[in-house]
Amino acid sequence: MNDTRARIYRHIESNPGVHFRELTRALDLATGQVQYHLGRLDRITSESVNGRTHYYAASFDPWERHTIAFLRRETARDILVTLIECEAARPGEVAENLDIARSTLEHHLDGLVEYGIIEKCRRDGRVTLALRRPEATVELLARIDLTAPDRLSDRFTRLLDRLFESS
Amino acid sequence: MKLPSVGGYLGGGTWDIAVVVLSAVAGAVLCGLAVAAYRQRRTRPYLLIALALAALFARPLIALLSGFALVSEPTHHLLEHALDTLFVVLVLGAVYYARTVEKRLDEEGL
Repeated sequence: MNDTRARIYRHIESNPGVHFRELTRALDLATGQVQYHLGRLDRITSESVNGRTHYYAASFDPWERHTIAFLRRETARDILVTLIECEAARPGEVAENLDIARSTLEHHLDGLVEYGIIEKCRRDGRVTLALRRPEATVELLARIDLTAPDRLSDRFTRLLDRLFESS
Repeated sequence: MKLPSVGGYLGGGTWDIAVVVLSAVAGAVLCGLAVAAYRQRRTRPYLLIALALAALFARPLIALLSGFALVSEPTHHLLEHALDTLFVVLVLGAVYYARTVEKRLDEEGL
């Protein structure tokens, strides 16, 4: 395998769910170069979640790929950690605990529920949130680290959510 | 070092250029964050904020063009005031449409 292509593959393998831009930044490669090699790497898969494309080694199943994508977003990660800690919680409690706008929580829940990471149960007419596969989620959580740009982007969106909600 | 701004309208100082470049870089980062927020939310207020911050980012670019004498001083001033106005209008629009986002959430019973 070509040297650059091998570097790209190794980076994806050790950083599952890495973004395209993060690849160009971390490896100091041009956009076109990364695009070219990604097109020729058959041992990787990609997943587009909420408008951002993530790359993975082929060993992950679709559920793991989606969970990893959310673990790379600070707020979604916080929501998952909250549910790991308290097993089941009402949406209002989660939003309050994390000090986030209700709309921020709901935006993340849309995807988390759609991809089977969190389930919404109705008990006595009230919605309760719980993890679908708690153990597998904990395992992935330990493997995924957040990058500074990921955190910055998530916090800015959170700030806008809050501003729009209170205006 | 002799900078190309000498002869332009930026005042010709190294500090002027440095401040404008810093402002452009910071503006680009902020604009990038707003575009990322819009791509996640895909609603009008987020789009308007992204556009407002793009207008803010355009200000130092215009200043640089003026510094290199590619844009005349009167045009530079006119464009800057126009961008200021655009920024304010876009932020006001975002605030106005913010209520629509909230209403949508209310209707979904969340």
